[in-house]
Amino acid sequence: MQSLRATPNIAGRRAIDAAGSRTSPSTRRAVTRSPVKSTAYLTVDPDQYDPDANSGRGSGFVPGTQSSGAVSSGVRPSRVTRGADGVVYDPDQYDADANQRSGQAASRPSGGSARQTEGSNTVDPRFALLFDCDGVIVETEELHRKAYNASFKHFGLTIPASGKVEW
Amino acid sequence: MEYYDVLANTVGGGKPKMRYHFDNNGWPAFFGGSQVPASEEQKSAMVDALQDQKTEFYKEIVESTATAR
Repeated sequence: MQSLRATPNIAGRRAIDAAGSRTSPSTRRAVTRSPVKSTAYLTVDPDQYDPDANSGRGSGFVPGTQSSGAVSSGVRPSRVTRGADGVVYDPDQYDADANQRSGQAASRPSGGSARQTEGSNTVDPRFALLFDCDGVIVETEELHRKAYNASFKHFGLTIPASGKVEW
Repeated sequence: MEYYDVLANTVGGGKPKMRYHFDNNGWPAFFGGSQVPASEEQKSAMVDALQDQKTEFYKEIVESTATAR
């Protein structure tokens, strides 16, 4: 990792360790991957084509920490961002591997009063993601069935040949 | 219960489920009557009414009994 900081890396470039020899395959994989996934060593804003990214929940890249046009691989952009609502958040808070990938460059928000929610890796419980309630978080098929039967009953639905309709 | 499982895994969507069921078992009449929908228009009107009412019941059921698993 140390040699990477001194040498700005780009995707596809082979990692060479301090002695100049290639690293072992397993190390090379880990070392070459991290700069690609992390914005910590980037000198260009990865969201440069996304006008909304820095005003909302972008990559956390902070252009102000870099001098314009200069290559400054030693500068670590802060990963902690204050949102438009004034709340400080970690853009990687839902990404459990972010801190590992970026070599701890993805720091966590400090000074927040909200405590970590037990049983989850949520950093700031003021934010939550709920996804796919229907049939995943809540078993709804049985509720749909009951609702259909209630509707059939409401209309006194009967099939002349076979009687009441019930699912 | 078992029949609804089959239905749920055979036909997607509430209105198509009803159509599927009625096409296979005969179209029903409202309020125990004998007048079943004959035209496509009448069938659609019946299925729409049943689905709208079902949605109202579903909202009530979800609010009163649904729990996360």
